[in-house]
Amino acid sequence: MANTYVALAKSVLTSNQASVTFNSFSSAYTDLIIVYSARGTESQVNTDIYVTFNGGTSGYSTTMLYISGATTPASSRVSSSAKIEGYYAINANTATSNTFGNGEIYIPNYNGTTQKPVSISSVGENNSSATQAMDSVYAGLSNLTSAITSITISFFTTGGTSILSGSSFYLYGIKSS
Amino acid sequence: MPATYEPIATSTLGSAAPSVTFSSIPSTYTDLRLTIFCAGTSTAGKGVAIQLNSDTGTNYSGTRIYGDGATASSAKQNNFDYLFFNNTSTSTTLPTFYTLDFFNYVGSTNKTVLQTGSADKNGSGSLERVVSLWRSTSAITTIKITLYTDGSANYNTGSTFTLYGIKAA
Repeated sequence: MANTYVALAKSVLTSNQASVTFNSFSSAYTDLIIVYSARGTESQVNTDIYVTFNGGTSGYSTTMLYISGATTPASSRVSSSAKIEGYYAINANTATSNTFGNGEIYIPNYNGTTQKPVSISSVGENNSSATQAMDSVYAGLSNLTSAITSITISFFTTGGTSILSGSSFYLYGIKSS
Repeated sequence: MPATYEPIATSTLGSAAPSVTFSSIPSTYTDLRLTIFCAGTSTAGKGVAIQLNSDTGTNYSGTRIYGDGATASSAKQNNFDYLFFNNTSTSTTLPTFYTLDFFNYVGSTNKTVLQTGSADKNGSGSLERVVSLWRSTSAITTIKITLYTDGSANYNTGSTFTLYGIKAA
């Protein structure tokens, strides 16, 4: 069978959660992609996305480029951080109801022995002039030089949970040969 | 199960080189995705230049948005002799990652390409998103990938270039 975009795992939330973690996935692929449809629980229009690997809480950095409907495009950077983080990534609790944002997290060469770049694209549209849409892209970097064996995704929150029930995350593996 | 996202070819450099070419690309897919995972031999590498079907004419154009961690900027180039990234510098030690999506690459219309470049360097670096147009109604059969520089630099050993084919059905 031809190599394809192979589904490795999924997480479809049936209750609000603090985070989603994929672990024990195969090392047989070249790259990983996580595709998500999600909404945050924080009481604001949109919220930030966080990604960490192998439970690590240091050695991450992110350069960001984002457009939030009410403002001009902007760029930010966070260095030497506890996580890869992207501002204005996804719809949150005060966005138009029943609207989820979408995104893709691309992790190339996840088994390699070099540091790990990550490309994230995230969008959310609310069809409302009173609430903000967002279109964001992030370049992340982890200083991890061993294989990625777990991936944890969460959103900014001041409460106990960050991801709304009904959000879905799908992990795919891609082989280069 | 239908084949959807198939690797067509991959090239991992065993020694430094200024460019990589994928040729004889089959016409049996709907779209193509090219991924580039690379480092440069010096910091003179500024991005990637792509030429299709050996076309060196000024038949390429692009509109880009890019951020350097402080400022978001936009630019447009018309009538260029390649499509490119020019705001995502390579590092000699940290990998830079690019994706390029070529839509309807065998169709008889001009070719649209969507590009993303990710080059965070923990305290520096940038990212770039580009939409490009190649004004040709020919099917894409060759893709030449050259390191875009403002000095002397090559793609370093270990840089990996992979071309995938995607079928609509």
